Amino acid sequence: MTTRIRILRPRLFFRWLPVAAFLAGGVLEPRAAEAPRLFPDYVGVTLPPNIAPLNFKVQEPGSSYRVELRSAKGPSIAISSPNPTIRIPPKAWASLLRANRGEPFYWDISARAATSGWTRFATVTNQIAREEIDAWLAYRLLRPIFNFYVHLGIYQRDLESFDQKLILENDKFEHACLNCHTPLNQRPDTFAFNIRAYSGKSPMVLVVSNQVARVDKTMGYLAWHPSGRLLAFSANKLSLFLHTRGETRDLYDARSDLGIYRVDSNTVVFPPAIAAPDRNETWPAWSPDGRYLYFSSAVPRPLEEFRRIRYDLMRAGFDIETGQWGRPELMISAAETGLSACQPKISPDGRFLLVTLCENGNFPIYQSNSDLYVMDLATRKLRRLEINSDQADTWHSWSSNSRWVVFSSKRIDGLLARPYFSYVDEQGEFHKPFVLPQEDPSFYGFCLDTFNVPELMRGPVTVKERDLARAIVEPRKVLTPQGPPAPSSPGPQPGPDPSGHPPVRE
Amino acid sequence: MRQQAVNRKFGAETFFWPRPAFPIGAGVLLVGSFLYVWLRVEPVLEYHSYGPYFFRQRAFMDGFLGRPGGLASYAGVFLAQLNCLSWLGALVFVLFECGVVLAALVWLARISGRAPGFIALVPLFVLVLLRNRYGCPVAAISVGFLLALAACAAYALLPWRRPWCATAAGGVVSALLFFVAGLWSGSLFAVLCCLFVSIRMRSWPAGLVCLFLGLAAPAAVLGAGKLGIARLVNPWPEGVCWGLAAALYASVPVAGAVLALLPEPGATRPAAPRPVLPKRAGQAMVGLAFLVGWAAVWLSFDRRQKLLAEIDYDTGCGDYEAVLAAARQVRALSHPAKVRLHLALYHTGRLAEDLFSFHNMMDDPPLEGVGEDWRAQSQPLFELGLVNDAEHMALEALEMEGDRPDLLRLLARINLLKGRPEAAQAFLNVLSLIPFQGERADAAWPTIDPRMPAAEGALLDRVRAGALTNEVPHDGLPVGPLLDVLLASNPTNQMAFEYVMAHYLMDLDLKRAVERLRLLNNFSYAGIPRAYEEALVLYQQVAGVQVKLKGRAVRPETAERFRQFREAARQLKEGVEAEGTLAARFGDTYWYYYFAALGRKQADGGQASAP
Repeated sequence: MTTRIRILRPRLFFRWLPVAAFLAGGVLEPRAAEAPRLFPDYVGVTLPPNIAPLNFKVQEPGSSYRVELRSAKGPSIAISSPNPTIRIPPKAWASLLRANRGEPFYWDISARAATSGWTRFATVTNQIAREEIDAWLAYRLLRPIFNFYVHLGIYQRDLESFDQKLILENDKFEHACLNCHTPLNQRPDTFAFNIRAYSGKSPMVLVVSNQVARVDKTMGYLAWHPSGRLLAFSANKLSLFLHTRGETRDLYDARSDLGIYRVDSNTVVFPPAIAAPDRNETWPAWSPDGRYLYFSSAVPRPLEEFRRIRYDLMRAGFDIETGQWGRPELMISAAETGLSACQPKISPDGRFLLVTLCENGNFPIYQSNSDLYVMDLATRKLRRLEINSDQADTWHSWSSNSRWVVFSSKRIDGLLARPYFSYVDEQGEFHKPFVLPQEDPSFYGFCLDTFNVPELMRGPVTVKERDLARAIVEPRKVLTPQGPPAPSSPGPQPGPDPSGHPPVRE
Repeated sequence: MRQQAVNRKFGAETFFWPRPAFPIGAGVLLVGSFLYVWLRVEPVLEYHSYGPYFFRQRAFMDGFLGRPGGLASYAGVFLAQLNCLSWLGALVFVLFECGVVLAALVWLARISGRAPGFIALVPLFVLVLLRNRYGCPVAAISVGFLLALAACAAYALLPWRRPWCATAAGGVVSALLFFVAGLWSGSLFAVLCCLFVSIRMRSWPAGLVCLFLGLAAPAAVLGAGKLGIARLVNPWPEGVCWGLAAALYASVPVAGAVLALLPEPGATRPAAPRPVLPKRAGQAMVGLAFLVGWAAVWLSFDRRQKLLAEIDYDTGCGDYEAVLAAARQVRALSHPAKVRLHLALYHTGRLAEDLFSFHNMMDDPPLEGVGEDWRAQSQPLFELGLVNDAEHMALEALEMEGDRPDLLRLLARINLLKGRPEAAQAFLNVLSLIPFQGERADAAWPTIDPRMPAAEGALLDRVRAGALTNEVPHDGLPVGPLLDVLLASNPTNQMAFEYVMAHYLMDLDLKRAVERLRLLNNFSYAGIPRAYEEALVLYQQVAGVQVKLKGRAVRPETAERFRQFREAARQLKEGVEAEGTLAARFGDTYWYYYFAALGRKQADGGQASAP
């Protein structure tokens, strides 16, 4: 059973289509009023011109299927398949997309039933964007785990093909946890991530222009200053707790502060503006001009009051030359929204602030009510995005041209997060998102891994895995930052984990 | 160079010499192995408890192909699936044995120029010893071993004229074997080639080069940094007994060297290859070796491990009477086995009566595997209605133990109850990738086929009806408080009642246990179940209070037995009676459990709850 693929010249195709249809069982195909159901849902989406083929499965009954993909220019792609799995030839797909930037993209899908012959569904109309997406996506793959982890790794995917490559797996260093991979300005040669070992040591691995070093300092969520000269980080005291209803896992942050790690001088500071003793600050994010640090901030409360813990979104001005901080400024008030603001990310063009709001706490992936909101920084107007689902939508990041966002969503099954891409047009409208395409369209039905912290990158990470692993277990270069401990968290703080692992093990 | 005559004719007499003892002995050994593995080892128990599980998926295969020895391990994991039927698993094992003995016979005959006879059976004993151990990747080890021996046998049958040609070919084959079956297999072939070229072709330099070439590929892989030394030396999954694996791989080269170094047969060529030893001495030694070998096999079998696996398997099958029968035979129950025993007692309606009749409940052996512990706990938590905690345990176990059929099924059920049918389908889809697991992805029950099997539907309805609907944020697994909330939300949840009682009784918290006896009337017990009655009598004695239960009273025979227990305990304290006597008379009572556990707790420095 194979899928037959033909690439047809438009005129030739239309000339022979009625004949082909007649030969296939009927002179005219009856038309269904509705578009076919596809898995993944690739109906009405906007695609980048450099995305891999959106292979899909037709979720309509039939004994064989025909698909024609067409746009304004270039040859269309005709596929016939004896089963509902439609695999699109990559070369023809790439040619069609690149030739039709900014054009509508039509998918004509027919299914043949045993009794009634061929039925043609309403044409699926997608859109090809003019702007490309950053061609590589880094993410962490792990099971929906709680306290213990055996297999997890950070991988990178070429979005123009189906190639997934390894960045680092934890079997190279005693199955420790690795998390919070954070690239500088979508650059693949400069990034950082954290390690949390069972031995209790939690260093950071720093890669600057492909030079790897281990930084013996426990850091939490990371944010590169656009200059690359410093990293903002959080120091958290996290613990996992469980619910007996709804999502099982939840995360409680007893104390947290933000600090600044100066890469150039290997020093750490906790400026009072972002490490106030009476507030918990977390989730740092720099504005693209480097003049503001955005972060979440809340009054500390005991675990018993976890439902009342809601984070404001603040920003503090910063002058990198003088190291001076401005007074924190309220951007989103938890009291006003009734929601907790987490994971701020500012578009590289500085126009939009994308943030997750959830009912409480600071770990939105564990809450099905988590939604993405956008703030136009010129008007300070905040709005909930239409691209949200009834499941958690969070862990977002921008492409370098500010036209695409990727985020993790549990919308397929409510348990496992998958990366979704959404186009952001010049008016700031977010278009219907689509899930990361896979060669086998059934992939997500068989994958028990969750896609964690998707980050777009402009190219592939080229540092070898063994160099990264060596930096952890037998480093050539170890940096031990000088500086005070976090003001409100005495002693070494265990690192947080995007999957919500508590810092202590049972 | 003098060309060596290395090709001698040999036929059936090579294999079956001495007649008829060898064919009979070999046959007895093979049939005995089959029966032993089938009926004593019972591969299905290993399959259920230890796996490994094979997945019909490219990604699963990719995990093996990227390293030397991966292909043999992949084949080994596939063959291990046949353990799902004990007789089939035993048959596969015996077929391996047949292959091994045939290849060993050929090679040993070629290198020594005589009939190897019973020496060729030595590896079979080592294989059975390996098969004795649950969790040992014996199929993967056997594949590599057999490949190396078969390649050697074929190699020895070729009409080699020049030693250096044989050396070069040996180098190529050992490198191939290294990539297919790993370091041990490649090295075995290199050693056997070395012996063959050195002894039969009488070229020691060429033989040593064989050895050198055999190490070249592993050295190259190490040098390239593609594989760590640990992974190189151990290409198999966990659970290997290194001593036995080394003995297996060394058995044939050692036997070959010994045979080859024995004095050459007479100048005149015999009609048939000569036996190694004089007839009578040989027969005696062979008989003794058989006895010693089988004794070693029989005695080295870990019966406790089998019983624990049996408890695991029978719990999975819902055969709770068999669980109880197996549990009675185990000297010290592991923690997962205790959890399964509780479940079996509950399902057979005996948790409230017979919990403390299992003496082995008190032993507290060290934790043998957290993954299994969580897996064991996930099932009763699910049945109790603590669905989120069951999910917690099941997902932890899945991470630690990998994708197992029972966990995948349970997680599918959990996700169905949590209103996530697509997630349930994902777990079932993965389950469908495991051979012999029945469910097919597109025909599985949650979303595609609304006609859920009746038993599944009934189970889910039952759990849904008793499930905890209150929100109780918590850390870890506070069993008592969670069960209390569960019972408060559904006072007729008998499983929750019996489990909370068992929890407080085993925790020696008499006060809390007795307080909950007021709920007895919610259920249809006749009188007071024995364990509760004993706890009540004890509490009244220790706390000095009288507890009245509406319409229920302690039976006179229980009060009388308690009086006898106190008397015996007093005599024990005075040294009149031995502790063993107390255990023999009252070991099935809660009183005995209470004081034994209390003593142990105090000895450990812990605090017992005041009654």
